[in-house]
Amino acid sequence: MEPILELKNVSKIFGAGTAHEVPAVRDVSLQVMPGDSVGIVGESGCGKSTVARMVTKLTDITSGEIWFDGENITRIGEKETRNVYRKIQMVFQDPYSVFSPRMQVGTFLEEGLVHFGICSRPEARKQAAEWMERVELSPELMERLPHQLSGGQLQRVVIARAISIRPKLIILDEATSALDVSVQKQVLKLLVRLQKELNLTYLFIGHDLAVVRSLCERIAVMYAGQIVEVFDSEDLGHNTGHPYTQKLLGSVFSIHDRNQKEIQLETLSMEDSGYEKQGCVYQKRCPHATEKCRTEQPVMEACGTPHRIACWHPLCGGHHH
Amino acid sequence: MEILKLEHASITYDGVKDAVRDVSLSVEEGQIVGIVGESGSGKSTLLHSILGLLPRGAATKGRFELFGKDIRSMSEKDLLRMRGQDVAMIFQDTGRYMNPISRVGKQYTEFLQVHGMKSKQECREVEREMLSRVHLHDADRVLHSYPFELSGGMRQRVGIAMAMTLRPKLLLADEPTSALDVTVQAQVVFEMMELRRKYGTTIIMVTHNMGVAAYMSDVIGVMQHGKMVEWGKTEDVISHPTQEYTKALLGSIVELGDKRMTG
Repeated sequence: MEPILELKNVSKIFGAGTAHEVPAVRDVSLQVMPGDSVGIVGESGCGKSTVARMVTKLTDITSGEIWFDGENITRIGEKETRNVYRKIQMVFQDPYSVFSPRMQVGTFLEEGLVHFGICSRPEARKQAAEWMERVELSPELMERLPHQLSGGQLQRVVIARAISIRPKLIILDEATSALDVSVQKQVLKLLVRLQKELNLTYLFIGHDLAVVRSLCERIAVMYAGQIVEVFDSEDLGHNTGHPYTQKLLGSVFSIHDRNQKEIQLETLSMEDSGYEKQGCVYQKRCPHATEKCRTEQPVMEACGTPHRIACWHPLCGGHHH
Repeated sequence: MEILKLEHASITYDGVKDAVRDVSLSVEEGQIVGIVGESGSGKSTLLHSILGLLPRGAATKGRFELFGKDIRSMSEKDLLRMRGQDVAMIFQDTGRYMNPISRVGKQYTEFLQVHGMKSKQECREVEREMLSRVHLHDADRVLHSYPFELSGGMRQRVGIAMAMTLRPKLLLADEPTSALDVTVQAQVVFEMMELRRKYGTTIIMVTHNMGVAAYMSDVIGVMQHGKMVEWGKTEDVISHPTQEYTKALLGSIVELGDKRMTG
């Protein structure tokens, strides 16, 4: 089977060639197979959203290649880009920013269907109503304006629109982060159900490891523009080995953690580290860093399928070197 | 000693919206209290009322007692003295309430001078000392920076340092970690826990993050539609919630230990 999306050594340097180069994404390689749900997790500034923006052609690429649906889309023209937009849909964090404040919610759904040639205008109303039901909303809400719906309801409409035009890939960029906890879980469940029913492919971008894990089969962890580890979601914790993955795990507070978890004091964050001239991106914060980590950049190596890791001293040991 | 006591406290905005309804509670010295709830539940309004920081148009009813004194009958002058001295507050992002075009050190010094410290020399020493206590060891660089030049975690550490300078007995924290990344959030939780350990500071924190609340708090309060629907020891609230709403809220948390969702 061919991957639906493949990133080959993709980099994005903002201000390339100037004195103020910012390497937002560095040498990222990732494959998404049809029917997959892949998560990219990392803290703000790690480059995860830039990856999404490059895939959707909202940001151009400094180097590397992006292949989508069997086609190299790295440097395509406007016309081909429009064709890509029919096949890739995005769902963002804040549903209110997606809507025109005076457009009825139903019209928003119909526009997508008509614009992308899914059906004729007379047929669109009926299909839009069906999509409302699919995302567990009453079709009566179609006549409402965006501000008359809750954030969770509105995000369901955005999801319905994204899926209704039958894309081959859906990118969910922090799609549940702005929702209240009780709503978040319901929307996650909806996404899982729709994926099963319609065999959708998801690339989910998020900062919350627990949320990403609940939805995705495979997870890529990003730090300072690089993917440092890729693993099967089920392996998180017991078979993952990058010290930064470990750090992320240790930073999640469970409601059952009371007084049991020890927090290690640390004054550095990603904003203060990760852009050293040579060596590993995590060297400054890593408790296991050695001279080698300061001078040589670890290469991404397979240690099982799909497990890949970029670390000289991985914690899971055994299968690396 | 009882630090805060509310009896049938209600807060109404513009005579229409009941933000807080009939809340009664008591907070003892040295306790860490976490108040959780979803957006619009009234938790922030409740926290602001403790410092007399409600916006114009807000009307209060009931008894609000801080250190045994009735807040509602305090003069503006007494309130001002109390703020910073006896009670301090930290917010979601310290950088947002600092002056963006003034260096951190200048603002810190102004704050100290308002509260009676005279010489600049003395102020600077206190500032360095306080920053090092929240593990900002390059104090001179921090003091010389503008707020935007610091990372989110550093700004929040500065906020905690400033809030703690005058050794307040009570620290109010309004979503203190919500704007932060997870690894930085853990650090701010660490700093707040240290305050109680070192100085016995009482902390009342409002957050939507149940994990953080459960980790830090001795007592948890759950708010819904302005009401305190549940109030009790953290273990009890987490393990044996009595209210349907609390059960639903706890049940909707996505936890790392959960099984992956399958359709």
